[in-house]
Amino acid sequence: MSEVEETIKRIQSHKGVLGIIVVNSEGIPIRTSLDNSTTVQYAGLIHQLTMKARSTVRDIDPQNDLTFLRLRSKKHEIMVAPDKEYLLIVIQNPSE
Amino acid sequence: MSKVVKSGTKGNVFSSKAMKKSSIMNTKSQSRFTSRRSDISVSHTHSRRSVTLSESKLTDGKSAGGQRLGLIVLDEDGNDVTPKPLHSYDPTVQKSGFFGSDNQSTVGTPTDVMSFTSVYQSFAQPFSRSIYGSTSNRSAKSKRSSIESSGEITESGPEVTTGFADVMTVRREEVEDLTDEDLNKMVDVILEETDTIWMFEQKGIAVSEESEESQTIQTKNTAYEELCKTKEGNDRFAERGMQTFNFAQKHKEIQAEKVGLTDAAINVTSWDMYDTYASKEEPPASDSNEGIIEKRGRSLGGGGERRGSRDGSVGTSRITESRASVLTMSVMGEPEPEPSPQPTTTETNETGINPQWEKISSSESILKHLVVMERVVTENIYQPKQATYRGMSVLIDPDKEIEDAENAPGGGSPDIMTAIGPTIDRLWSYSSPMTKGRNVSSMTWNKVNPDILAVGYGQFGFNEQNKNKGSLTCCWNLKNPEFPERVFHSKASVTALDFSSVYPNLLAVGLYDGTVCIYNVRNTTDQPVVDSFDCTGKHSSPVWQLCWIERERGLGEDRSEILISISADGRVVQWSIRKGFECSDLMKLKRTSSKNPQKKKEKAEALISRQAPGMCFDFHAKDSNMYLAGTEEGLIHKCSCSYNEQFLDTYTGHTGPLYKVRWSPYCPDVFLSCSSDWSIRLWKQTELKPVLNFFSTTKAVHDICWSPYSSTVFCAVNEGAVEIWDLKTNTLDPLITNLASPGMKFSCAIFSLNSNSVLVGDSDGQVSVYQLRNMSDKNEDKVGVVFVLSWVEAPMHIVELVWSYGLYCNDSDLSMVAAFMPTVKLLKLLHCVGKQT
Repeated sequence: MSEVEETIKRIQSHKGVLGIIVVNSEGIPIRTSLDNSTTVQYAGLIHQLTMKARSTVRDIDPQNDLTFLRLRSKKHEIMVAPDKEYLLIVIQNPSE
Repeated sequence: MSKVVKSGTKGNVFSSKAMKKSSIMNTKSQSRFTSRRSDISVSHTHSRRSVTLSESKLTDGKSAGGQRLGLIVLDEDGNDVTPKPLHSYDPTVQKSGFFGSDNQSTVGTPTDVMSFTSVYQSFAQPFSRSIYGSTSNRSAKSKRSSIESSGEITESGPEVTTGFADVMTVRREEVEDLTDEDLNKMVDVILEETDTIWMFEQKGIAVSEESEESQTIQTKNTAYEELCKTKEGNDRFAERGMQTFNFAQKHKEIQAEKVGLTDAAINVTSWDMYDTYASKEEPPASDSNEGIIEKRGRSLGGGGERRGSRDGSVGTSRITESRASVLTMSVMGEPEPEPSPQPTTTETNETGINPQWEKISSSESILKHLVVMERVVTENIYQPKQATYRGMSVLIDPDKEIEDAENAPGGGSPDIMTAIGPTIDRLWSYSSPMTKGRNVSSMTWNKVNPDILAVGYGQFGFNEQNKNKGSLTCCWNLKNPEFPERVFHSKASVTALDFSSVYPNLLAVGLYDGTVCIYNVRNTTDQPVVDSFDCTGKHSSPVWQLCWIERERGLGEDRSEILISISADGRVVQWSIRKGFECSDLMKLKRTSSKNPQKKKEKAEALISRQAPGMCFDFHAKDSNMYLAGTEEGLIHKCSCSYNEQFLDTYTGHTGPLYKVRWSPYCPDVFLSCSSDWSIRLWKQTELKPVLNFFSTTKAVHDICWSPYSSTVFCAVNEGAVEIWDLKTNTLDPLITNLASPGMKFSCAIFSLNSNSVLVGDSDGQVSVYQLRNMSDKNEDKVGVVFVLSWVEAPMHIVELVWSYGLYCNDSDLSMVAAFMPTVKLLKLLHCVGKQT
């Protein structure tokens, strides 16, 4: 198995991790460990949020760019690693 | 209705050539009165007839020579029904400057004329442009086209024709097939300022009183009024009526094609513009962009996307992307019941999604992102522990329930903690499924990054060597205690490790079969960079210790480093990686006959080898030429690199194989040794007998390690317990003892460089991190821990050793004396100790 697959499996089996989603640049999930409806929901919403966040960062300084986004809520934490071609989303419940 | 007559010649032209089907012309002649000249040109384009533009002269010949319409209109039958120009240029016709002065150019009814006379007389001259020229583009000269078609027919001939020609531009509608390439090709739209086109101008009929002409105009006005008054009975004026022809009117309707309108919108952001400029400078990667556009075309589907891509082809590639992304956003943002047009899971749409995943998963960036993500996920769980490791305050989750507060890491209230006294607190352990069950044989920190720890997993004993299982070397990172960052496999057990300081990415590994390999931890490959397999002078027995030593070269080169290894075949070997992997003997550890007079038998024993197996060594911190080597016999030899035949000194005291020898990091003359004879002994360089002995256990002591923070603290690991000794407080018992769980044996220990913790490896493959708490009174440490060890062995004299930082004092009493260090070293200690607070 490639390193990428192994790392994804490890993250998935990490303590408290609810799911991992890879979304392409249009907001369509291409790999997920959650069920369909949740995935679609997360993919669409997080994609928009990431675009907005990136736009904000770059508006302030066009040479800057967004590297990581963490969204902590009461129940869990959503971590997003954006890239030009995809988005990597991990949802974790850290207090488990 | 007053008839509008242009020039006489023109009227002839119209009447003579009966253009039966040119009803347009007729209507035009009627409507000329009110319409603008410019409309004529427009209406022609709506004609059903084909309109051709030709530069040739008019073929049907006009009566007025020199007219070049440049336009031929043919009706269905092919007859030429090109409309005649409204004005034919007659060079004989002079420009009429004044109304009424030229009989040939009657310009309408007197009444009409008169009303404008006062104004237009002055402006008549400048009326040199024809009305036809009103729509021409050549507006460089001022065009005053009079719109009131009733008047002002002072037209200049050439301008008429040219204006006409310009006006009669062909609107040939060609239906082109728009190919994909056309849609996607970049069309540059250049916006330029055009010449000024005068569509309409109307001069005011009022003149300001202050202007220059007001006087003349006023006189004219009064003259005119006089004239009007005298008109009535004047002989010079005669009234006459005329009748115009009322031709039958005909309506004609035309239906034009609806002009298609497309809306395009974009949100421009400052980074968008920046990207556009940035991409213009580099050669645009149009292939990838087109690829992306095509992919979008495939994956989205639907009219919205096509519109997006077509619009995108208009602008530059960057705008395309952002536009498309904006469109995508709008598509996604709409709360329509339309979900993303394709099903989302990979099963149902494999053609579009899976290749994407393949492409993404093979890109490098996703691996980096996954590594970062893994660390972040790990950090979420380990954050409190890691914070205490670093000495930072622990973040308390505000949403955590209150009942957890008691169990919050960091222990209870400070009072309780201090009352307990010095303890060690287990924070976490580095372990992963692949390391389970393996014995930890050695650990070493990276010299540059104190978060990286290399751990070797290998069995100590011969019987436990397991060829099939192989052995591991793992590089762990503080940021991920669950999975090692690097894993190197080797066949034989790993017994020694060391990181290089000159090249911090080189890790030297010593194996049970005598092999020495060097790995480059930057790569993730499993192969060593160099292997001693081919060397002639390689070891034939387990390599028990490795060390990179820096040597100063006199030639002014960069710091050079050599690798020293000691092995059970009795040799201390130095390796260099300058050319290949070379080694040379530094010292052969010869068996020395025991000086103990009681054991005379030894001389008669047959010796298997003349060399004593070496177990450990340690180079002096200050003097890189001198080192100590411990052997299996229990002797410690002080050796020098310059002499490879003889030892400088031999320290006797241990009765079993030495497992570790360590110089004190603070006191240059003191070293510590541990062996399998259950003891730890403290030596001074000048004394051949140990200064202090520590007997605390009945198990072999595998490892000792000085604390980098305190000069009197060291950690000893025996099979059953981890012990922290503090010589300042107690020389008979360890300060802290942490027993091992049953079935597990501790095997090695190392102090952490950037935290007040000790890491202990055990036989189960775990490396546990213990943090030391309440170790000592902080104030004392700051001042400088100096104390007097008094040791009484021989009752004859009392030898006192003061552990200072260069300061010795003699005291005849057995006592603990605190002394102050010289300032220089005090600062150095403060720097280390400061992290404790």
